[in-house]
Amino acid sequence: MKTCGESVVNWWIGVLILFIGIVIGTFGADAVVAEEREESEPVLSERVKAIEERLDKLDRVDVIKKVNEYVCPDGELYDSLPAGGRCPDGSLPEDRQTFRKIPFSRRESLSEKISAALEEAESKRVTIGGSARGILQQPLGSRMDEKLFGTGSVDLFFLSKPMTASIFFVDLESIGGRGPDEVVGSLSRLNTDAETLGAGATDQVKVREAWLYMRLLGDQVKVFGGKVDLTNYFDRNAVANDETTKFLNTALVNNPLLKQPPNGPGAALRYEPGKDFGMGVGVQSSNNSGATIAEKVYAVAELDYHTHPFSSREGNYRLWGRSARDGATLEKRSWGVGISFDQEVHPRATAFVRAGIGKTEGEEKKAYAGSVGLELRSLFESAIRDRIGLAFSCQVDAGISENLGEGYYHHYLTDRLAVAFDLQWLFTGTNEITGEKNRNIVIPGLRTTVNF
Amino acid sequence: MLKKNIWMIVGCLSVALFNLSTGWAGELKVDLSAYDPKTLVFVANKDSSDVAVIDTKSDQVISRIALGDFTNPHMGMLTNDGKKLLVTATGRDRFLIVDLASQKVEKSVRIGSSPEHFDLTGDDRFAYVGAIEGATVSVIDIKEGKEVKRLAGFFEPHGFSVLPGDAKLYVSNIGAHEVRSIDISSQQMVKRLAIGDVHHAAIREPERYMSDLKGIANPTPTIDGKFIYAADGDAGVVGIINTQTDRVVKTVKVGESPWRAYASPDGLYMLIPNNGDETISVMSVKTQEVVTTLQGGSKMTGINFTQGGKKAYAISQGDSAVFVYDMQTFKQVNRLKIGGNLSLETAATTADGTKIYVASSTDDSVYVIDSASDRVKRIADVGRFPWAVTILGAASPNYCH
Repeated sequence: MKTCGESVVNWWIGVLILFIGIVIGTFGADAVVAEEREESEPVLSERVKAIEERLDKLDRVDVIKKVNEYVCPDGELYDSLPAGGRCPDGSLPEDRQTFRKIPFSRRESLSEKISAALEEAESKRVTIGGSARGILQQPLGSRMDEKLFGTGSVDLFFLSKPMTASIFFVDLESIGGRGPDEVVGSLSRLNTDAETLGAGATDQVKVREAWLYMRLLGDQVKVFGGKVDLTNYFDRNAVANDETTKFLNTALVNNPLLKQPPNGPGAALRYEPGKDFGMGVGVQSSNNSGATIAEKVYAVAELDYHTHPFSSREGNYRLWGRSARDGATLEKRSWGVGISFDQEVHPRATAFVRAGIGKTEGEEKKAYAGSVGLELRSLFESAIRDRIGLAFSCQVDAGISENLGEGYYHHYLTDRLAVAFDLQWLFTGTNEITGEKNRNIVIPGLRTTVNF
Repeated sequence: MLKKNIWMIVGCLSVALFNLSTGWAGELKVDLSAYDPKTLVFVANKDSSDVAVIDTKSDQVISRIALGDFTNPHMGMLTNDGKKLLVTATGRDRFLIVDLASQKVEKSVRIGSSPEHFDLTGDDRFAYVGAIEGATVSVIDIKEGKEVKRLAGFFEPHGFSVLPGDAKLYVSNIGAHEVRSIDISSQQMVKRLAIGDVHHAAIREPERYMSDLKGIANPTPTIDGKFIYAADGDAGVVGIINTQTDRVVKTVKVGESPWRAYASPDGLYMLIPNNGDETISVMSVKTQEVVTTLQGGSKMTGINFTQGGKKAYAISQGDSAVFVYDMQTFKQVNRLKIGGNLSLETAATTADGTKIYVASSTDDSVYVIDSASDRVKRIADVGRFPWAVTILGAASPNYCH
């Protein structure tokens, strides 16, 4: 049996041991608390900073705006008209509206609502764009009078939307100068720009195109009417269809046997059901006098097929036929049939072929034309938009034959300024001015283009 | 005397040890370098601002990586070498580079406002991060841990896809109807591509399109990288972009309000959940046409594939369920009711294609679906508001929403 004294001792021992345990534990906890206290100030400071950063977000709102965009057939979109008023492949962009969610601060969103009302009125006005070009060429050959020829032109484009799903387009052109065919007299024509001047003229200001475009039947039918350039809609080609950015020689801009009249009163209708096939018909006055709109017209029709036959690379295949009258007398009839193919063969290369056959009333022999070429893109990492074009053309018409090659390098200095180095080699041909043979005439050229 | 006091001594020592242990309590952490990173699931928890690491062998949370207060992580992705975890910290407008060996944030890069989604080049060199509110895309040098370029002018950049080979990046805008291609070598935008033709419908119902805008959630590449499938929510179409030419080669009508395309790992199909009519359009990659339409669920947030693409799992947030489809017969074979009033978010498939981990934000859990048996297991207390799940080398492409 324990004595009273032993019990007291045991009790005190127990208390002592408990006290020691509590002290040890408290020291340890205190150490943790002290460490937490040392951390808490930077943590609080960081939290305050985080909250301050979030205050700015409370001021933000999103506003959905209706805006205009320009969409090319391949889906590429622009907020404003692309340079030159056309897509990179030469086609016309579709002007349409879309919706975008745009972030604003609350203060901005109020002023946005006010300016939206002003923008609504603004959208009904005319959009203006343009481009300016200068071309220098010098024919070099043993019999050539090696003069330097230059042409300059300025185009002003006006676009407006008189109603939904329509565009009214006007192209005013001022052009001056002379091309090298003044001395070379080639069949294929060495400067397409200079050809618009017509014989004998050196300066001209004119309405190059003025037409109304409408989309019907859910965008499947497109109608153009007015003063038209039918080559915008027929015999097109992804790499050989634009003298302002690609080949200069007329035989490499369009098939020479298309024999389209100068821009004049006409209409074109295209049916594109949205799949791979398309078709079009066009009529135009045989000259630009406007006196023969309904009779002795130039007519053309075309079937198109767009596909991806090789590893999903895009290809366009066109077959056209036309009926025409000579522009001067409107008496002689002629007809022609041709093809225009372009096929992407590599992510950076597209090949093209054109060919045609035609006949004119009163002439015994048929006329033939063919061209083949290649466009190379993005060859240099520092200049991914630059292009190189190489092509060969041969043509036989009215007993005259001509073979020609052309190469160019189109370099973008800025988004709106480009320079192209061009070289044409007229292998054989006949000089229509002197009647002599053209052999191995080299025509280096320089083209500068500014878009605005 | 000692015997009598033994219990007192034990009790005192326990008190001492308890006090010590509460002061020295540490976080749950293991050495992740002991694990194959492809066997780990990383779950970004929005509200607890951390990432939970789950071991797929034990289905346990083995570690938590704190990201910092108010970071509210949105999306995570491992670098291909498995050494870093990249996370968008939406709450702090930061992009975090976490070292998995130390499980600490080693770089915190300030970028645009409210970053959400991103993608990484195959060489782990650059990450492209979209700031939804800032309308910018930041180019992050992962090695240097800094922003090297910021591209502006986007409309809620939401989806990012770097093509195999790292030549291009595609960015989709959910605040507009366009996809942009970026050339990675020059870090410049190459093209803007319009998807769909919403203005036609908008002429008839302008009020609808001015009140809400459902653009393009994601530019999904085919497994071979040759095409991008971009679904436009307002237009109800999928635009197919040829990545070599950057052209929209085809536009295909699907269901109402399509969310985005998901690529089957066998490269045969693209599945597009249409949240407007609760269907799933199945498109053949070869023909680029819709081959069949499956009945789906409400508010589908993702589709995962298992067994090499033989089975597809559609996550339905609205139904708190997962719909299971046989991809050879195109029939629904199961409907897994995960729970009641759960908000299922994203999911990831393990590298061996046998399990799917689905984040459920409202009950702080991750649900594990066994692909062979379709049995569901719950991993609770993963973190607060688990949002995004990612697995390195997942058998079905990782995604976020």
